[in-house]
Amino acid sequence: MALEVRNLRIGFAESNPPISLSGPVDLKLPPGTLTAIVGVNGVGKTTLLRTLCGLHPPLSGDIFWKGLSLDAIPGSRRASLLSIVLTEPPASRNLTVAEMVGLGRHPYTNWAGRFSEEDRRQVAEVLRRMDLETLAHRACHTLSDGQLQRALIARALAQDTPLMLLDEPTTHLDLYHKVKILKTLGQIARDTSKAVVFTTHEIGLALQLCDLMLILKEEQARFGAPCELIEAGDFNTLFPEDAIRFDSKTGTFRVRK
Amino acid sequence: MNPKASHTVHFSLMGLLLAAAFLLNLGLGSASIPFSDTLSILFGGEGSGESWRYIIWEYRLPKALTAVLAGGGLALSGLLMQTFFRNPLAGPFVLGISSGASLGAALLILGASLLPWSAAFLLSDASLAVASSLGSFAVLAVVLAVSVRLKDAMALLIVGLMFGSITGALVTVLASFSQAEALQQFVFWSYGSVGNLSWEQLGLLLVLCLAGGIMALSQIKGLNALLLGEKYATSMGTSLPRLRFWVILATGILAGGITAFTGPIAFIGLAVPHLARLWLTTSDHRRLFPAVLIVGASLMLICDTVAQLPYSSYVLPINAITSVIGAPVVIWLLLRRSKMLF
Repeated sequence: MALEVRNLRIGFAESNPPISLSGPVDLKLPPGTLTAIVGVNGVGKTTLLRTLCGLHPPLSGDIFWKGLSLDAIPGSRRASLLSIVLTEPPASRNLTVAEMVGLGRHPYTNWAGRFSEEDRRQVAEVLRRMDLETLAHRACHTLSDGQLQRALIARALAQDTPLMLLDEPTTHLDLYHKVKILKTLGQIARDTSKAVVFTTHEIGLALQLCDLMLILKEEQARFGAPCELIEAGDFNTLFPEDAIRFDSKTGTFRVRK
Repeated sequence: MNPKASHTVHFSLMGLLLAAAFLLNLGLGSASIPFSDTLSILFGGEGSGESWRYIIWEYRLPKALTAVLAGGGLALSGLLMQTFFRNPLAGPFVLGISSGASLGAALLILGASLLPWSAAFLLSDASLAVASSLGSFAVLAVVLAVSVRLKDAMALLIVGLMFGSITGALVTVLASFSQAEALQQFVFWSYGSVGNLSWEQLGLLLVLCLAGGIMALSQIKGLNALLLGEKYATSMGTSLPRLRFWVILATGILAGGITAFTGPIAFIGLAVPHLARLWLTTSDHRRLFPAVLIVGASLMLICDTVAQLPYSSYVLPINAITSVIGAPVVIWLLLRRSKMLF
């Protein structure tokens, strides 16, 4: 297992009163799988993702990476285990695509960030895989949303970690680019034996493209293969039923007339 | 041209600029010394008069070296602050670090005049540097505490401005209790000057700049990671508390130490990192680091050359010159907003 989560509660312990989001989360992510985290707005998808990265403390429960507790792993070692793609663009808009992707090699370079042949090879390989070769010397702030998303994913790929976490990688993209990004993520997971996890609102696409799904709900979280979850009727109660309902035959949501 | 070769060209040009500015600064001053004599005196010759030799070795050379250290150091601390706050308008002066140094210096110079018996002890060079550094640290610590609560960049700048006002007010209060000579000493300090440093003082300034520079250099990888934002930096293994500590210490020592010896010098720290980014079109600190040192030193030498009003007996406050040159640069950068990146 690349990642194993047991009885994890997420939320904000420091706020008054403490806020607990979603039910306890249990999941096991084998290498080479694409997993979507879905749920209504505010149920804690982003918070769960940040908790899994170690950027946010859990309320309770355990996160294990190959049997090691995640918070027992120091930050410098963790950087070679998991990489992230966030919704926020890079703070400096002056960086070129190649520079940003190169920053992904940080866990492997020396104190000054000097590249070895291997680092250079990996960056070139990642740029080629993400179809960014022609954009390599463009500044990030001149890219379109779809190109920027590809560049951000390329940076995470360059970090070369067995686990990759992405926060809403398909927002702001049109249908074509949404599908392209998700297919690319699936390809990456299979080709490089990574466990790739992303949050999304695109349930229809996730059902078709993901190996595993985690449905976050207030009372409980459900984890499994898409068809298992459909059969168990877990999508029927995902949203309040006054406006839409789930059609389990076609695997799509229908507007209630 | 591949990027590596073009960087070699750019850095050669910068080196030439620095060398030219340095020689120009040495060659021009209130005494008119022919350039050939300046060069021969510099390389151990006698020149055509003992007084020229004295002017070059005991006045112009220390002054030029101070300008190099102060310009490079202030530009570096500006670069650190801009990346650290991820704010293109940050700099030691804008964030009130230099005002903090002023308060430290005022407390020492003006406070010592209130306690006459301690004046001789307190007014040594080292204690002025210490007081000034302490003042800048205090302000930096408060700005940092505010920056943790306020993620808003503009709010931070306002905090810096407020510190400027508070310091100004405190200095006025101190001034109304102090004696004329002490007040005059402080006013001259606040005009800024890279002259009047002895070789010993210059040695101390060099040590401070080296210490600050090495600290900054040790954090170069973390600074690059910070270009993506704090969360990305953490996820790539950068320890933010450690980075924060060393960057603040380096900036405090550089800005505080330099301000102690030269007085507050405006705009170099703010403008030079932008000029270096425009020149090299990169945000990579491995390239910007040497670039801001060279460009900062060159700009400071040029400003000092102007401030000396060559061939006249007048000397202008260097702070006025850096402001006259620096403020339009900042306005120009703001008008071309797309270039105001970091």
